[in-house]
Amino acid sequence: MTTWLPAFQIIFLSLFLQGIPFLLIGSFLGAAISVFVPIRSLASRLPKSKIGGILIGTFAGLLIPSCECIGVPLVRRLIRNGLPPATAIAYLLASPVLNPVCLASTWIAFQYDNPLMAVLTRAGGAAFLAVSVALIFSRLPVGNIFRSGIVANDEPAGEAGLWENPPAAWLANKTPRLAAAISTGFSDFFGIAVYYLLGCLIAAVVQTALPPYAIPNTSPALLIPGFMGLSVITSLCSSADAFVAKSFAGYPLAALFAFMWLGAVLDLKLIFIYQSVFKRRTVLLLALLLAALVFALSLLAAYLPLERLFYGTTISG
Amino acid sequence: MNLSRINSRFFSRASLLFPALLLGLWGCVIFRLKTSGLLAELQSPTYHPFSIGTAAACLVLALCYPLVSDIKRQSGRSRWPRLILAILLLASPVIIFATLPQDSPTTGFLARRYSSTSSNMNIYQLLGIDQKDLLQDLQFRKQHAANGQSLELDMLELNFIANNSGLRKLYDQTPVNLSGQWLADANGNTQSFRLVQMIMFCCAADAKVLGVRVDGQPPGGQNGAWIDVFAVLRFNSSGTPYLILQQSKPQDDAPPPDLPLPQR
Repeated sequence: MTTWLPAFQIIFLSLFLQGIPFLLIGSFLGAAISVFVPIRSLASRLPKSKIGGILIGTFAGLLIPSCECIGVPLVRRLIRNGLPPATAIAYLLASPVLNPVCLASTWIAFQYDNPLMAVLTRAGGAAFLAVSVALIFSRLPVGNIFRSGIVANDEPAGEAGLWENPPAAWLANKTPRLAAAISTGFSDFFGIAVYYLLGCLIAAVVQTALPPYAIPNTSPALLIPGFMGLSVITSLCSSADAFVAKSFAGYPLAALFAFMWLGAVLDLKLIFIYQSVFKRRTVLLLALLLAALVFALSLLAAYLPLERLFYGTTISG
Repeated sequence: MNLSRINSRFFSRASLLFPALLLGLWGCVIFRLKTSGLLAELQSPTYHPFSIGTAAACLVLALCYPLVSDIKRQSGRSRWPRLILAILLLASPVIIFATLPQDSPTTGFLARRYSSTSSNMNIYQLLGIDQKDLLQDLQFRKQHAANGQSLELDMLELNFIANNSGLRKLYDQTPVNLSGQWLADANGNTQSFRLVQMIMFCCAADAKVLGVRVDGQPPGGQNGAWIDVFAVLRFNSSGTPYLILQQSKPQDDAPPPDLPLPQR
């Protein structure tokens, strides 16, 4: 108990402090956009084809930088204001990696290896995941994917979260737009922060309960799930995980990229905050889908092998 | 008196106060972490402005929330679960803060993070330290030190020396001076302890702990306290460094370090 409690507190607080500023920024950014930007008219100008909208969502993170903690509240609000769900899902899954901050941190972490190849590999994998999942989800009925009140024209948001104030109601009441934005940001922040707190709590408990990790350097087929599991448990921010991945010297690059590809879109805290947007069954489906796709992609990278693209040899750096 | 009416009003008013209270509490906790120096042990200093900004935003929003809020009435069906959740959420910052250890907050954490399979040599790349410069600097310092003079090293330099066979030969049996947090031996050995230092990139969740075994009487005082160690540096047959203690001194007036990353 004497070592368990401080370790739990340190991990919980560090995870909490790592994400909460960005959750706040995402909530208020989403609220400001929903109040000041005509999302519906912008959405109507998106390409009519499904794949066109998904590709725009995938690469929008390069223009609207956001990590996963900003992305969830932002997307939640944008879907509610009329952004097509497939475009929103693609943005949600791609933006944690396809943003300038994450790509720069990946470049710095791999600066002594092959930074350009590292950035391209990471970004390519993230884009593949986002497009694949968005395409699969676009075939499902919207009502089965999202929580009630999340999609535009759905039933009122009162049941979706603890404190929901749809801006449309505010604007109908002729409330000043700034006040509407603050209030909406507030309610969005609370709608997600509760899940985030619970996610950090669970992640900290699991990290504290597990013994110090030791993954034996075996075959890629075993290493890749090991590193995928590690990324889910550690719940690191996508802008910092490249540094941690790079510190695992001697392991195949495919395992390190599995760690980065999956960790950016799926971890213990994200499983909780996704529940503020998706139905519980959808979160489970999303988790299984992402895990299967990352495993397949990483196996492919292992048998290329990725080392040959990075160093021109098969020896891991 | 209609109790159900009072009950209904109570819940709706309480729900109005809840977000502001929770935000305000977290804002206070983050400010307190900063003023007590604990924030430096949780998060890289690069991110401190974000945390402080968040704390300030939390307090401002908590104060102005009642002016802009228009909370919908909650449905009666799930009132009790929501109330329990609200109480738990309100209690969480209070409990977390009240139970934070005052003197050695990271001892348990350091002990758990001390061993991992990740390599320590990548740290230099990740911190942007030029390894050629570091090698030359360490060679120069050793060659120009007076005979028997204690050389001041940090944990990164010690780790670098341990991973270079030439430097190991040069530094073997050299008196050195290192500072770090001391941890009691995990196996209960009272004739040795560990000297460790935490290095983080973003926050404590991604931290690495570098350390060295020190053979000698553990220092008195709290496990996890910062100390200066004067010792002779040795290496075993596999190149792992260890120190033979000459003297250890507590850093009495030392506040928690400003930078978890050693300043260079």
